[in-house]
Amino acid sequence: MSTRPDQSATAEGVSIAGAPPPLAAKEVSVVYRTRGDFGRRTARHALNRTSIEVNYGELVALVGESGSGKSTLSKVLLDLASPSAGEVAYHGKALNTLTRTEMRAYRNEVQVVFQDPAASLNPRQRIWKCLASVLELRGVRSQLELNEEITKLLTGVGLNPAESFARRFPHELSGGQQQRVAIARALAMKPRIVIADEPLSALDVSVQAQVLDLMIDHQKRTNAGYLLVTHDLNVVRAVADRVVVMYLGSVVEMGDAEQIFERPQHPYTRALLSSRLSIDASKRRIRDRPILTGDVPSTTAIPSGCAYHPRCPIAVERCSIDAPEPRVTGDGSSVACHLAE
Amino acid sequence: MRSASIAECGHEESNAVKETQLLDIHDLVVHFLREEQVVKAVDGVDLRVKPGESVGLVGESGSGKTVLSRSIARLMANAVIDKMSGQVVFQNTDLLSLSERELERRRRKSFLSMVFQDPLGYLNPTKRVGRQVAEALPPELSRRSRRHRVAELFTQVGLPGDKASLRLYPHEFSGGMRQRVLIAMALASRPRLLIADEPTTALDVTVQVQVLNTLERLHREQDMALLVITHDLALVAELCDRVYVMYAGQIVESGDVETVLSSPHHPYTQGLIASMPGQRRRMNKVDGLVGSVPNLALLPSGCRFRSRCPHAFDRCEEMPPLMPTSTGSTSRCWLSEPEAEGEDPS
Ligand SMILES: Nc1ncnc2c1ncn2[C@@H]1O[C@H](COP(=O)(O)OP(=O)(O)OP(=O)(O)O)[C@@H](O)[C@H]1O
Ligand SMILES: Nc1ncnc2c1ncn2[C@@H]1O[C@H](COP(=O)(O)OP(=O)(O)OP(=O)(O)O)[C@@H](O)[C@H]1O
Ligand SMILES: [Mg+2]
Ligand SMILES: [Mg+2]
Repeated sequence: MSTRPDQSATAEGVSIAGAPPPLAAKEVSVVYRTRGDFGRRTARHALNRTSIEVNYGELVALVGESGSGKSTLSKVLLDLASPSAGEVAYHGKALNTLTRTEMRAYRNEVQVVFQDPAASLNPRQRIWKCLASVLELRGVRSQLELNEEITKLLTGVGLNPAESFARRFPHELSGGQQQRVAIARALAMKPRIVIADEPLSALDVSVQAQVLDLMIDHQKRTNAGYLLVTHDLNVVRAVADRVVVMYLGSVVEMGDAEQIFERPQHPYTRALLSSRLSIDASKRRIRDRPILTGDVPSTTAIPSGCAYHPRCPIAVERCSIDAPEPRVTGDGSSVACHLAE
Repeated sequence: MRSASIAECGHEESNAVKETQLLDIHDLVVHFLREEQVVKAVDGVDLRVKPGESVGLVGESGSGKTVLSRSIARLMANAVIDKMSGQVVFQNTDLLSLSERELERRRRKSFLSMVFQDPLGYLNPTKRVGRQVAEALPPELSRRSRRHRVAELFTQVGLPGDKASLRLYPHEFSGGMRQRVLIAMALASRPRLLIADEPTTALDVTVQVQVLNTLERLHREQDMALLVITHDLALVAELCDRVYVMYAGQIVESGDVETVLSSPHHPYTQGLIASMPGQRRRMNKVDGLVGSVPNLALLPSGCRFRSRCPHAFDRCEEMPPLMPTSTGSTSRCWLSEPEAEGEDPS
């Protein structure tokens, strides 16, 4: 807990104005090379000079079409994928320049919850063992302390009676219970930053609400920073402080959640938001919704200029030539579109 | 007797009720045998779809929606069935009483198509997509008209209908495009009823709107009835006329979509609605559902929602029937009886 590079800025988990954000990606690019037909090599540009930051005390939602690079960006931030250009900085220091102690601090402080709880838990390990091995990393060693901590963690995520759940194997739990164990394991490290990649999509509606409450509760209580990757815009609306919208490997818009929902600037953000189905049947029916024409272009052949221009209803000639740079607009959000005010 | 009153609820039909229904499921029971226990996946379900109507079936995971929809077409491969009874009357024929051969013949001709929950498993990875759609066409068509019809189907579902696209393999399509190939296959026979099990769960929101738009258009333009199975109430709100809410093998509430969603009677429906993220105010925990669907092999006596219900009382030890409510919907809850509603403890 005492090995962060910038002590003063982070002692209480508050970001101090001017201090670098605890976690940031700066202009990162990721290219996957795959073998295509007949052994031809193709390059997939999963991320294209993408920047994002996560601060303490805020919940950032990362949204965008399937294949737009959300998981890749999460992996880069977690040091599970290495960028071909750009860097990830922890409290302002590039990951590859961190000392060993700083690296350990980074690994402890930044935790992850994945989409598929079953795949992220070891099937041959009882829940007790799974949590104990994480706590041991934190220096908790004695049996007594371990039992105590594990009970606290499991109770904290609503798995009561904790002793009974601790004895079980993952397959003896429901999907929602497994996801709660995965969250308990992430929280065992007392993370200050949590990256959750579609943590709800494998779960039932009722369980989704419970798991979401759990994470929000932790976020508020500990003032942690959260990066929540999700395709559920209703969830974003309910919980996000800030929203980052991606399209085909680039951030097209980011800003305060309220602003983005009330006054989306980028045409893609508008298309995305107008696709949100509403339970209020008197309001709107599917037949009246505008549809986004054309399919997502492939990451192997990103369109020239603005990547969105082939599907954009308001594109002008310039959009197919120049790639728009992100610009900060009047209300403090940032948008990459030639036509936004 | 109870079911008749439900069918007539709100309709003034002089001809026999049977004639006006395209699909009429009556007292359907599907019980499986698993590890020597009886799993009551579908337990006495009544459900009706009129010609050209769009009907939603919602409920949590494990409530029996898929088993119900698959048993309509008797697609229960490998299942160890303990009991299957009731009637599934489609266009005046009880499908459950047909021989395998007769059933197969009808499936091919046929007026009933399905889109499955795990679609990607139903596409053959080694066959070109155009060919797969062509194989779903009625066999009597000529070669030329087949080709024409395949291109037409592709355009209908918003896929490029050019020759090159028809010659692609499934893996060369995105998930959303593959889902639409399956819908094209299901539409190939110009069905009178399309049963779609979670047709868009795997899709992006923008693609979802595109696919739902297509379904809605065909529903309207070709008078194709829809039975849409989903856990997403918003989807039902936008696409369907009527809705059935399923819980632990039973229908617990049904009625007009607007009525059910704006004034739900059953506490389960109320909980489902309250659990939707859009319905929850920021950080304000409202009473969403707690717990999960009970084990269908170890169901409690009485109301199956009892253990999760915030309003449960003594009488719930007795199973409530589906009864008409004050708003014209039906609900399987003692508190939904019009005379009981004054005493609702909430
Ligand atoms: N291991 C990999 N090898 C090759 N290409 C990959 C790999 N992982 C991702 N990609 C490609 O990179 C792009 C971005 O993928 P990514 O998984 O980051 O998208 P995503 O936004 O998380 O999508 P989804 O919403 O579907 O999860 C896609 O075109 C994908 O096909
Ligand atoms: N072949 C089978 N043998 C035994 N039990 C089965 C079989 N198929 C389904 N079940 C059980 O029947 C119950 C209902 O399953 P079903 O797939 O219909 O749920 P569902 O409502 O479609 O859920 P979801 O929303 O997750 O798709 C489950 O408890 C399931 O385990
Ligand atoms: Mg992803
Ligand atoms: Mg199902």
